[in-house]
Amino acid sequence: MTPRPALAGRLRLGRHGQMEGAAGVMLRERAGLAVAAIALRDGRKAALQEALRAGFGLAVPRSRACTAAGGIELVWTGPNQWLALDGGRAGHSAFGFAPDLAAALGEAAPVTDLTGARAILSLSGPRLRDALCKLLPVDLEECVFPPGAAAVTLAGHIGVTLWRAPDAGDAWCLACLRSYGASLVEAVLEAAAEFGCAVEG
Amino acid sequence: MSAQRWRLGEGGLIDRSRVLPFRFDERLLHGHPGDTLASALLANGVRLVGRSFKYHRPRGILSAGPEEPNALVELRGGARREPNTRATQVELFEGLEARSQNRWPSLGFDLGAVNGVLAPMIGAGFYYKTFMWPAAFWEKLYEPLIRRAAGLGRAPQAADPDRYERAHAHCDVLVIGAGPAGLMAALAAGRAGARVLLVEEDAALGGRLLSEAEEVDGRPGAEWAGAVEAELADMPRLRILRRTSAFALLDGGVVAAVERVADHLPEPPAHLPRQRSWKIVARRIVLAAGAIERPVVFGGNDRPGVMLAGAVRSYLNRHAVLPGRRAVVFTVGDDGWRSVADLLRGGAQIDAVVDARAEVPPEQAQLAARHGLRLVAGGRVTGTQGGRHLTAVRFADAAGREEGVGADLLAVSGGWNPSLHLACHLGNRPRWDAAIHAFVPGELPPGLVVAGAAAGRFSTHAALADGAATGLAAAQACGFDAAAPEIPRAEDAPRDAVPLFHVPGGRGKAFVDLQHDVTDADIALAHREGFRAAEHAKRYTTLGMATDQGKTAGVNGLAILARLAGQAISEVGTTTHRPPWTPVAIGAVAGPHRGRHFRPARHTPLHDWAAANGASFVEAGLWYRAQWYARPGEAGWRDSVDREVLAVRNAVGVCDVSTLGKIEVAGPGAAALLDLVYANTISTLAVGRLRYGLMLREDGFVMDDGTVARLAEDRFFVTTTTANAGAVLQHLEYCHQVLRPALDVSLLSVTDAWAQLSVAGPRARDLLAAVLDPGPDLSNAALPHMAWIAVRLGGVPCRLYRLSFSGELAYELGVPADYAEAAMRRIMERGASFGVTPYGTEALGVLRIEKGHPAGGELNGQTTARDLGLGRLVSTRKDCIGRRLAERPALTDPARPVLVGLKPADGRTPIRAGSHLLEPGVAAVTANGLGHVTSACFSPTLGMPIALALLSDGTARLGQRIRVFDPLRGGDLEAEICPPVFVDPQGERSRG
Repeated sequence: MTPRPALAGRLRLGRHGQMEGAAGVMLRERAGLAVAAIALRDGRKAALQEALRAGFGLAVPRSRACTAAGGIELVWTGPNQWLALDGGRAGHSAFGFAPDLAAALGEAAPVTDLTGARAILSLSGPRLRDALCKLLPVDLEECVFPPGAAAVTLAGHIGVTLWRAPDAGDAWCLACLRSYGASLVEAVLEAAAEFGCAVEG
Repeated sequence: MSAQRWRLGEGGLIDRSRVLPFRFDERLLHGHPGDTLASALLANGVRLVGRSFKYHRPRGILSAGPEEPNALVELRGGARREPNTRATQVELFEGLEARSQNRWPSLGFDLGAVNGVLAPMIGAGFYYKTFMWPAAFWEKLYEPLIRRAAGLGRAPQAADPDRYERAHAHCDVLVIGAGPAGLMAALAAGRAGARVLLVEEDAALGGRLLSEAEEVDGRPGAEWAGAVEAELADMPRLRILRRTSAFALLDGGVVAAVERVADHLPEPPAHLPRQRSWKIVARRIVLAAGAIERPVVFGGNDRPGVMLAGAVRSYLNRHAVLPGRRAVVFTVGDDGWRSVADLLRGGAQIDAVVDARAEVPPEQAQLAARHGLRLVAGGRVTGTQGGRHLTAVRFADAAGREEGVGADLLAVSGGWNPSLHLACHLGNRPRWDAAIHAFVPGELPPGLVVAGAAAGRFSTHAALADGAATGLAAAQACGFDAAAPEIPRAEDAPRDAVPLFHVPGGRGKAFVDLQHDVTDADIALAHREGFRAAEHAKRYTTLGMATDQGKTAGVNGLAILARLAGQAISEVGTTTHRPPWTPVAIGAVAGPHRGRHFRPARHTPLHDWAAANGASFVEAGLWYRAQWYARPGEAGWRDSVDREVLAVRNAVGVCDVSTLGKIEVAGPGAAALLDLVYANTISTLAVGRLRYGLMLREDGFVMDDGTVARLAEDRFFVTTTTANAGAVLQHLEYCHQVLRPALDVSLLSVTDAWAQLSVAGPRARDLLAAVLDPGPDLSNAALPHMAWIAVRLGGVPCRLYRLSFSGELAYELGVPADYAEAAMRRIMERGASFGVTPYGTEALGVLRIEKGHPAGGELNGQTTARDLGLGRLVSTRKDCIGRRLAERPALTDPARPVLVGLKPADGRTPIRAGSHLLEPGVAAVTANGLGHVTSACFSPTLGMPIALALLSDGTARLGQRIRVFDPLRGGDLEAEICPPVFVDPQGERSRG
């Protein structure tokens, strides 16, 4: 059984848009992540914080923020709800992430496996902000949206989550529901066309 | 180049090293970079540019800016043809093609000019009075007639070939306008460290400094502006948007702007849009939009060659063009004298300066004397002469003695109106300032300040000082600080003037609104007929309603109204300033969201597999769903669908139902919340079991249906129809957050997490046993109808729900989305020996119609649970949303249409959905309607067409005949009324 990530067959690798000079934007799919949603039970914030710290070394992000530790990213997606992404903990199966998380969080917060439910783009490049400002209504300036920031917003008509993992350097993540993935990629390529966009495998 | 006979030998902000050929009305002309189309036309001696809207009068160029009402041309050709483009706003480019409009057969000889002769008959209100009767003439005669006469240019018929974009910008301080005030504001705020966005409508920064022969800080104004621009360009947190018009102030410090990215080029370069619309979010806004010069209304004031005095200076100083060789200057005060000086320096002969003031200040009188100019103090221009162009000007002196002089240019200065539009977009009214005879911003919207000429402070020094103060204050309000920038030396001359808006009693038509051909006589007529309030007179005369929105007409119109009413202008009030400030192409507002990108598309994880296996797709909301899978040799879609249906009935089929909405409801309050939203009881459902769930709206009608699986004591998995997935989640959130906030429960859409495969048919169990990893007991006892278990498929954790939409032994297999295609391949591979057949939405529809399950046609928002035969599902032992209102008499009326089945009486005539149901033999009129067909198909199982319908007293009519009447598509047949379940009415197969 070979997994087929959200954008398999929907990304045309190589240079798009303007062809001269270095690409202004780089795009690739973050495939193979185990993803789970966490929703806080009423009045269990402290228990959740303790469980995430003890189990994964993770801090619970504030509103519009994300945290990361040990290869796991935790992204705020709304009041009292978060998305946890596991880039591959050594020795763990992708199927095990949500159950492990659920076991660790116990009564504090229900966990739901969302592996494969999101198309997740990793974006970088010197003109990334200029391209993203055509899609996203949020302020992308470094001092407003530094590493560790997250936003839930709209890219055109597509609901998206945008975040910069604290340890991800210049790479930004833009995620939408899996089914919208191809449309989101088209929108990003359109926005980045004037700067040239390199789609990487 | 030699053809540019009106080009000055030196000066101007043009690049004389390059010559740009262009065409106007097919005529080849030349200009330079730095020209506008208007300045290039003037440089070539072209003064007649267009014909007016109503009277087809010859018109030239009035202004040098966005306020231009006359010089409207068709730009470019083919699909890029752009009507009503202001020649003053078009940057000249090589190969530009422009045409005059509203003339036939030619600009010089226009037959439409006969309207001028008919003018007495077609004054204000002409349409209202003429096209009143007979009413029957309206649609066939009057409307087409008016539509043909309306408008100036011709819109292109072909689709726009260019791209448009939308973009967002955020800043601390937004500065609108880059004249002296705007530049200083940007400088002050930028030096303080604020994030600044400077927006300028023009291609170049500097505003009036580019047009005036004056110095700032001891050097030419344009040079000073260039130095400031250089400093601004080095500020990392400051951004300049040129060719960008801020056209609307919206709530919350949001400004809408349009950037003409490629309008100054023949075609947009690859990968660049033609225009880009910006939504700018600013913490503070400095409006430094400058001012617009006001013409004076007098007889013959529309003749080509009558030009605003400030525009004369723009053409002289910025474009090095002499707009006329023999000039008369008509001014209400000091300002027009600047044009006198510049015209003299440019080499024009000035035959007279008509100054409306009785007392002309000594330095101006001396200037006149020094150059031997005729000075007419206390004078008025009373008329003009000329055919296609001005040849003479008539004026009267203070004593009323009239005379005329030859002239090809009449420069008019009636004072300046601050460009306060954006300050009024949120409903604030401007205030009349008697000192400058103009409206100035009144109470300001929050976060916005006005600087320089836009605030009615007209000297360059005042603009610079104002800009520095407002820019710094705006930065300070955002938490930044710095020393105030030094104010450079600049002119601070007085702007003495008298209020003169209108010279009544002159010769010829006196135009107030040049673009809409509204005269002083039209306003007088409106006043006589009772349209005296500013807003009424505007609508009656259409004053200020053209694409220029009365930028040069509004205040003069109010002044004339005020005089007619014997009131002060401040008492007449103003009309409302509404966005947009300048015409904005709809394409720029739509941005990329057109054509295929009008809305996003959603694809299931099996989309590519389906496409590779012959699927045709149908749009279901945003989704693309496999409609059927064609096989070689099949003549049409019916062949494919019939085959797929029979495969499900006789062997096993597999259908991608991933688009159904899926929601997980988790937490100790989950069961209570679901009991509230579902009409039937959910809390009694055992873990491991499923239940059909019916949801009512608050008004008692059916909202949606689906299934509920209990995953754990405190966790449920809920499905919805594809169409209502979003609405149901919203409804659940509303019920939780607003109606039952105390319930500890969370909701999450998992639609995209699971590929959901319906596996249906007598061989479904055998197929699953062959596909799933060994272990689970699939027997009827272990996994009965309406139960679910966790299974694995190739090691991947999946869920197997036993439920049936088709009426067959059926399951839904939930597969993690990433593994959907691998699972499908395995099903097809291992199911081949069972005859497994993929089926699409069309076969799914046939199967459910055969089974009498309600879907879109029946869940139409107008049906109750009882109408659909689901009344027994509504629990009477608990309350739920919609229960009370479902008990209203109208909803429980036994005569309400209920769900029935229909079969054609002849066993073969197809029934169409949407057909009306009538008692056989009665008249086919609405009053006799008994219901309608909601879903119809050909049933391959029964071998005949069948349908579902909503029929009054349907249960009582079972077995009777009914007329199925479809006047729209010419259908008329008799059908037999039968129960809605055509196949396996006892439901034995799905339980087998």
